[in-house]
Amino acid sequence: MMRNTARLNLRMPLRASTLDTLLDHDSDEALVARARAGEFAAFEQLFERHRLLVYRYAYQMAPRRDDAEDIVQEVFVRAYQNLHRYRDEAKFTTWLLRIATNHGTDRVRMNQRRQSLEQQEAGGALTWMTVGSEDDPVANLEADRRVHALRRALAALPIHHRNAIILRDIEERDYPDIAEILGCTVGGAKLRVLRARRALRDRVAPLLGEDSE
Amino acid sequence: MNRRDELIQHAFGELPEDRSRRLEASEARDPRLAREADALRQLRADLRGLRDIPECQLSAERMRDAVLRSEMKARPRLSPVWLGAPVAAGLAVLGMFLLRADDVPQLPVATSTVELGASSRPESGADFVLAGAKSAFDVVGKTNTIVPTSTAATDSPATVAVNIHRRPVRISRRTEARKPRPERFVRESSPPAPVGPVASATPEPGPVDPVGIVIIETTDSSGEIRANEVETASHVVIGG
Repeated sequence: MMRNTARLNLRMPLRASTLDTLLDHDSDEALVARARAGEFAAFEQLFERHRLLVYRYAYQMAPRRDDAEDIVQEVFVRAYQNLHRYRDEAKFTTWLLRIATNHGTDRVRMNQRRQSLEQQEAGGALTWMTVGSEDDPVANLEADRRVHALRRALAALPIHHRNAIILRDIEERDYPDIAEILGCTVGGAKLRVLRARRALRDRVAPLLGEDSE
Repeated sequence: MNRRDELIQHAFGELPEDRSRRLEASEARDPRLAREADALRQLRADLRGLRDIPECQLSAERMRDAVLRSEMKARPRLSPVWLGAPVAAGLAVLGMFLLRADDVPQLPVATSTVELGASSRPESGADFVLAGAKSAFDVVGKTNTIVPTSTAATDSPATVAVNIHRRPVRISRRTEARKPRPERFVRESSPPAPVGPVASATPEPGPVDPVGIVIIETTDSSGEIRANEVETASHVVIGG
């Protein structure tokens, strides 16, 4: 009798409440399962938990707060629309950052085109507002000067190099994660990060008045 | 991996231990290499400093609104099958309406039949019958002249049919298809009285219902249109 009941229960479709008992109630996977079952509050919990992570990443890709917030919003909208495609074997944050990479890349390319048009129209007068320079009065301090130069060099990098630097050296994610997010192998991710660092060093050295080897 | 790449890996803490020690030994001997290694370590620290960013002000409400908007956009549109259903229903109703319109009951027929003399008959030879197909006179315009139905259909802008029982007045532009059939009235009416040389109408013997005549008058100056209804006696004399 017990065996029949157990078999019957296993054959029943798993509901969100059933999954909750099987999974840790507060884990990302449990929240995803509840969100898939139609509980929007669960998705809001995921949003509250991971929005800063996505925002930090988005801000490094598009260093303006409104642009970064737009990216975060779009990332979570896409995540909600594609929850059924999320496979539990990947970490939810990795999956989110992958969406952010894809969307942010498009967005950054669009922004670069827009900024170059704006700067052409303004005759370069907006340069100090968008990327900063040593002439900026706020950047008189050495630290500020370095940060601005670094941001400028980072913005000038190709987007795949920039994403590699952001993920590894700013967000400090490990290589398997980076490989998952960028859609490549671990070895490929390491190589990409190395090349990106080299390119960044070549770009930032002249801005700081240094020689690069 | 060349020497520079090794230096980068070393500065970022990703070079294996044994190769790191060898590189540090080289740095001690080469000031330029040491300077480059310091610059790379500084770069790593600066990159970590980029984590200080403005506060995120994106609220859950904004995200919820965005999700709702996207859901509304993504909602599937009505398929052509569903759009066809109301159209088919509308066509069915229209068809039923048209079928019923053809079965409109005949209005009561006034039996007053007046014929003009032979001299005033149209040359076409059609019978001149005042009672129309549906018991009404065809009265045209301000001229206050009764004309054959077929002529009225082609010459007058509008014809008005009225019967004495105050049934709904039907205003229509007659067409050839609706032309009254002369033989019907010949059969219903009594044999015509002898017609004299002067156009005259001889009433049919026996009780005859009075008929109503609607006269439409148009003022030329202002374009105003009036309708005067006149109830006739049982015997009507037309002509002269």
